[in-house]
Amino acid sequence: MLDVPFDASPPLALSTSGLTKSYGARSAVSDLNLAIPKGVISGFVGPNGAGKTTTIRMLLGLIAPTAGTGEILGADLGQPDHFLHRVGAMIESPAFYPTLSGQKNLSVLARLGGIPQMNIVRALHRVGLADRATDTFRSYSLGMKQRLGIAAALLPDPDLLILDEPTNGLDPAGIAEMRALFRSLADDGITIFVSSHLLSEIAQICKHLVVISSGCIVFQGRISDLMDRAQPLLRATPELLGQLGSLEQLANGLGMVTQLDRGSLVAHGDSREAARLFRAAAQADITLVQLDVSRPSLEDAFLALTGDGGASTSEPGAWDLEGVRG
Amino acid sequence: MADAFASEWIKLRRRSLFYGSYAAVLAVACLVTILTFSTAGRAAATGPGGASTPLYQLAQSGGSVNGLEGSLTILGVIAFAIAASQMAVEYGQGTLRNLLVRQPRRIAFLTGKFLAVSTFMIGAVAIATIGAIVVAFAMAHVRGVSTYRWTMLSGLRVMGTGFIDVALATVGFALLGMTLGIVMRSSVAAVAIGIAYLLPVEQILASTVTSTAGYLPGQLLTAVAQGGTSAISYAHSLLGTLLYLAVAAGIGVTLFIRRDVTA
Repeated sequence: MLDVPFDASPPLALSTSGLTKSYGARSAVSDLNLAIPKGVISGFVGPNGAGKTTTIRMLLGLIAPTAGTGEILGADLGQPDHFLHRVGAMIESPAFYPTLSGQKNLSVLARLGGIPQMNIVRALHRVGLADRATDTFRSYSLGMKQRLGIAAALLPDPDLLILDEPTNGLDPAGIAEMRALFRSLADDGITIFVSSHLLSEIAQICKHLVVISSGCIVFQGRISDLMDRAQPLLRATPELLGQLGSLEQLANGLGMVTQLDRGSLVAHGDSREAARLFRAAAQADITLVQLDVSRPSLEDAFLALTGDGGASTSEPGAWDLEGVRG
Repeated sequence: MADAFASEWIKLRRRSLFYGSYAAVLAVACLVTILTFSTAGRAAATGPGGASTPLYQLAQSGGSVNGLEGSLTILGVIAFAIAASQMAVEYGQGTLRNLLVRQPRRIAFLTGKFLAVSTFMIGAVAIATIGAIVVAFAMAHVRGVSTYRWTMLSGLRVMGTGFIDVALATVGFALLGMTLGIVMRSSVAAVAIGIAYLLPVEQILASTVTSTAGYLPGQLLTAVAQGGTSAISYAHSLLGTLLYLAVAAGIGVTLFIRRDVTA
């Protein structure tokens, strides 16, 4: 696991130690040691079935951990009534009563949690649903349902927001609005722990990241730290395809580990090594029509960490050269 | 618990549920009262539709609530279905996870919810009682049954105890319904299983093996509603009902507290 400290000793909004959930012999979540600093937007990513939702449910007291401890906002994880009044949450798809209006649905939750009714109006305004507040939930579009879920999470004026796929079903404008909302909430000092499969979204709004795979944390820390650890990748394409083998030999001669990919040579290397390869190719009379150096994307980093190469939609091999061929 | 109670009532006040349930309960109580008076004869008789009440019996102090007590099986089924559905739907729609985030003390949540459903059903029984009594007076006039004893102190007392007994039995049905809702976590399954048991299965069992009647939950609750029957005494029915309800409550609470919320 790559565990990059966020700060020297940041105050934590959420921490767990050895958090585990097993169903018989199968471990859904194994020995999770989360450390989410206060006031950040932390992304929680992992492939389907990695254990994200199980983790979130354990943090919210909905699922009892098999082992492990934790603290949320300074309170013991095992006593959810000590911290949940300061936590807002949206778990998976927004679940409400279809024949009740959005406002009534929030009233059910506000009344249950002893939350002032005026918070309902404020939350509805904040997510842009005030003008549809009296319409029934079943008449809402998917995006509006999602907004109502976020409004429900905002009801208690939370210090910590735990959101599971909050931008699901939102159109691009809605996603942009949510992004702005999360930023403004973070500016207010609210810690946001958000799971998403949209890595581009995570990259835009989060500074802190937790990557989980098969129930285990494979990275935790700043996104920038994760990206810094990724070696740049150079790609060189000769004018003549027949010269690809010679180019590979040249690169190997310069100490590069290479792979061939769709008529190009791919190798770990920065601009200095690109220059060396360029000079060597020129001396060998090989004309390059493409030579570029790129940093792996967050998605590449994610795929390399989780080993889920099959889901890649970006440049192959940018993070893990083993994944280049085929 | 008070917050859970108030929160649940927001859901119970849904127009379709509130008016639909109360109208159904009122209609059943009135209909059974009309049938009780319509089929009453000069002497007790047993026909294909069951035993009819003799007219002289309807003129006794308890005649005004005779129809109400007779409608208990259907009232009980309605209470059972509403309670089972109110509980199971939280699992089915996934709303339970939101609710338990706002109220993590599960016993307080469950108690508040049960009390809300119970008061909802007691309200329904109150409406049914009023409707049944009004119809009973009208039908007594039609059938020439004296209502003199109904309005005496003993008659009013019977009205009161009749309401309390039916309300108790209805709350009992509601508790059984909520328990099955928790066990099944599906409205359709809980209601279907509950109704299938309470109506055909238990009725057939009680009429074919009569010795079992004093031990079947539905029969015991019906006996409570009727203030005891010739076959089951009130004390026996009350004790048996309490035992069943204690077991049901134990199962329901234990499952609700211990089980992970994955819906």
